[in-house]
Amino acid sequence: MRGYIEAVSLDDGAIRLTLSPDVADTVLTSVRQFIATLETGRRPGVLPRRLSNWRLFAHAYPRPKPSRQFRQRHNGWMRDSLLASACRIRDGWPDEPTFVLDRAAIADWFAVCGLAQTLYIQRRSRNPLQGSFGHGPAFWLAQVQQYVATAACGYDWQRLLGDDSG
Amino acid sequence: MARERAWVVQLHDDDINTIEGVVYVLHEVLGFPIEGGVQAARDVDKNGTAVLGRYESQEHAEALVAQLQIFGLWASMKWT
Repeated sequence: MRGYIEAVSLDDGAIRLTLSPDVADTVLTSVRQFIATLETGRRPGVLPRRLSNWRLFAHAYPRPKPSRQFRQRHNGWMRDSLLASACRIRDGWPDEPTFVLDRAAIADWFAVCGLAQTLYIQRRSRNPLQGSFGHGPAFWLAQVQQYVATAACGYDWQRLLGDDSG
Repeated sequence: MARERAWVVQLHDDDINTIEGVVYVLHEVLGFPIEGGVQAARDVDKNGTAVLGRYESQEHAEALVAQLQIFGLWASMKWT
């Protein structure tokens, strides 16, 4: 795979995101799998496993009981929000993989490219944000998310961060 | 002078999010300026956590934590 991603800040807060065809295929496949998983609750694979809320979202409180209560109050609409974002990305997918993303679309892409990585976690972890993410489709999702965030902020990151970025 | 108790929203260090990603989310959800987001991200990197805000309303704090989690950040809250 010879992946290519370009994200350019535009004047009105939007960004233009260009993906190579192979990266675009990978991302679109992941978005479709994420949608199917959120709709069915089952992750793709030879041995389908549930994508439970604790795999998607961290504990909101230090103690288990209020965290469970938080999940009961919020995780349903949080999943619905992610599903809506993923569907908007899928439904707006162009013939050529160049996208002009306004502020709302940037938020959709950032959220979905972030949490769709949970489809590919290989080991169980109490914290959904601690795991071995950097391979396969998750690598490209992370890369696209990073490019989108960087372009969305429209900032001179090299000047701001010096050498300690990442 | 003692600080009044409040719901504190915190950001925790994780293996996934980059500084740029954290800065974007804090700007989008909480309205942080870019430099403020960078400082928060650096605090998390150095100390493991950073306080993002203090709120009187548990409901308000929970809504913010939920929004931050939708964007993939490890956010939590506590009464302190």
